[in-house]
Amino acid sequence: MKKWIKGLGVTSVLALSVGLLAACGSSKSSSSTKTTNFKGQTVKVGIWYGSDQEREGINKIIKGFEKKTGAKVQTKVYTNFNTQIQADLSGHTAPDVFYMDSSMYPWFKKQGVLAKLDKKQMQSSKFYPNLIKAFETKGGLYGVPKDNSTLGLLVNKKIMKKTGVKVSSIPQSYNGLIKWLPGFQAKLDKAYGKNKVKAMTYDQDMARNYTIMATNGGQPLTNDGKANLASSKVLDNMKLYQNLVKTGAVATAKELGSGDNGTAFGTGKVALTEEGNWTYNVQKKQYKTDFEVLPMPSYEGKRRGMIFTVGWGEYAASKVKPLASAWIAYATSKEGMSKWVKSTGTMPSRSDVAKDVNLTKDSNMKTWLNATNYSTVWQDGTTLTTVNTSYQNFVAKALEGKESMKAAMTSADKQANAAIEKAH
Amino acid sequence: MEMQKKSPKPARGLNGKHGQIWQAYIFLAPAFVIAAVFFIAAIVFALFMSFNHVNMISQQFEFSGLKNYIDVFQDDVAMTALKNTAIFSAIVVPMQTIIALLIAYALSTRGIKGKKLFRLVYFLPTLTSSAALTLIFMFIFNVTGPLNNFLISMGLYQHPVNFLQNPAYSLKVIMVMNIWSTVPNYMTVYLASLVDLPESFYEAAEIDGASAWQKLRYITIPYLRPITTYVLLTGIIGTFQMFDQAYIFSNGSGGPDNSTLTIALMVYQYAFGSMNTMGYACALAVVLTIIIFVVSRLTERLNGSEGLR
Repeated sequence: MKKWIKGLGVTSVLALSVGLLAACGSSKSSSSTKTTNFKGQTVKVGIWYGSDQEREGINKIIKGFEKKTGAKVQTKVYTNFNTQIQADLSGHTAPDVFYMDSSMYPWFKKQGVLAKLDKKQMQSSKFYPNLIKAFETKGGLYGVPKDNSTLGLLVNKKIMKKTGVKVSSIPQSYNGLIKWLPGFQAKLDKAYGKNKVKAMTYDQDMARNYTIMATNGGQPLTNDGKANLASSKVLDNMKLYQNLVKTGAVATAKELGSGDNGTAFGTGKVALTEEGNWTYNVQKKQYKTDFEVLPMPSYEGKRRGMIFTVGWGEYAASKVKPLASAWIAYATSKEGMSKWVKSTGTMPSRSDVAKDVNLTKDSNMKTWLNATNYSTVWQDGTTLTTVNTSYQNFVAKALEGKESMKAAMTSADKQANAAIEKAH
Repeated sequence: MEMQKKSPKPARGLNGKHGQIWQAYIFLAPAFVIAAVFFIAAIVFALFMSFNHVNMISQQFEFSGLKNYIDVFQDDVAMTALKNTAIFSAIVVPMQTIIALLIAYALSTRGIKGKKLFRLVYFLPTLTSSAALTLIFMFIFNVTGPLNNFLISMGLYQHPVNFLQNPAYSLKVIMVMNIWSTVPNYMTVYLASLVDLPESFYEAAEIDGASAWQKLRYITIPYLRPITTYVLLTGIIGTFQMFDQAYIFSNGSGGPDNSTLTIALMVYQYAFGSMNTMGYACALAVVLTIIIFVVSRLTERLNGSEGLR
């Protein structure tokens, strides 16, 4: 019996080495001719799932790619991406291609783990310029946006009806809202009982507040990546949030006992919320909310919102770079992205796909898609996460009125910069 | 089979006294190998990193001497985190021990009906994952939540209290949560020991005219002293390492105003933030280890027990 096992081991090793040799041979021929024949090769893609629809979407792209190239695609699914990818990069076991958030791109680039991509192969001119630029450094392309998310002002139509307030009467600017909110809150209190339904949510998160903070030349971070939250222009812009809180008609999702704005909105705890298109299917299917999406309110004469985009990056130490590039090119091609967008209901990062899948026929999706034109990409150097952590830590106290905004932001700057200094 | 063949000669190989020790080592080996790789090697590596400036991704280690340790003691934020952790431990550990003891004492009293039901109900919080628990508590304590509504309807105050975002309350909410979820576990440990307490002790005390309080004070508590040592030690270690609840509560920031920042959360921030500060994180972790060790030893002494031998 033992001999039999030994024999099996020897044959399997032999078979494996023959297979490997065969794989090497085929890869040589394919890379030299630059065809799309990658038979026998495997590309490992590092992703996370935001929803079941995303799982379905990626599987469709994988099927299409495997059919087209003959290569095999292996997925590595992350549950806590920013932590786990660091471990994989340290151990040199990172996937050949992986997702990266626009805000994390500068960090990945700085670590030298990203391979430069061919702009022509990636058809970079077909993408919305602000989205593709988020993954460019000094004219070189290091990532390709797979989709795009923006913010809009969601209105619960059922609540509006009950309070007798028309959706069209909601002011289109923050200044207008600040004047209008107290009266609206009074109507909500009357209809639902005091303290039951809040008029609107707001966020204590730079990922949402950044565009306001950066208005009129505000610089939340200096050019060399130091926290600069207590600078006068940023403080001027922060007054918007102080004034919103003073109306007594706004609350954060957390204050309402919800994990995020979408949950607070879906469970009927607020009438208005600023949220992204990712909540669209959740509201429709899970909460069955009757809602309408308005464009983001304007501030200082212009509508402002945030863009969140995740791109594909290629691992610099990948052993199958031509295949990895081919994967990115396919997944973000008109064909690949159409598959993705149709399954997930997310917004494409290419205008030709947006036209193709006829996204604009849905007025709510159209509002979100239009926001791509006036919104700011969530990205600002390698220290943004650290500054945001510190900001979240201190901003609440100032908004509660327990401390001046200047004092709070000075503390936030001090703490963030102390942490940034330790990295040098 | 071989064991029954008792040979008159001193046993060799894996039998006999010598052999039995070898057998024991063989049985211990797998666990030892795992511990050596995943604990001892990891600890040694962390110690090494705490004396270096580390970039994990490019695998660069630059010796920086005691700089990381000096930074820890000059860092106001680290001191705040340490203070938070110490306060958290100082309040939670005695509370959870006392409450667990009292509930166990009550449940072990003879003649109480529905003991099993009580035990089951009391044990439920321990079965809940702490992530779910944190979300439940955040719901209970939110501005429009049940607690605020209840207290307002009682007429205790007019405007709802912002328990979650007011630095004065946020750590206390986590304390309540932590006590609530750990008491059942310790209660079970106490109960298991109380089952062995001879009823005759209480009977003798009753004949002497002891009250329920005196029986608890002079019989139950001294009898349970070794168990109390165990409860205190695991309580101290658990509270000093508190991470998940603060992380979920503050979205990882330790806010509001650093009020929920614990050492463990800070270690995480520095180790896995978007900066190359793994060395500093390791130094913080080593300091935390030393503190836990010292505090545990002191508590063990103060409790006056022989320790866990």
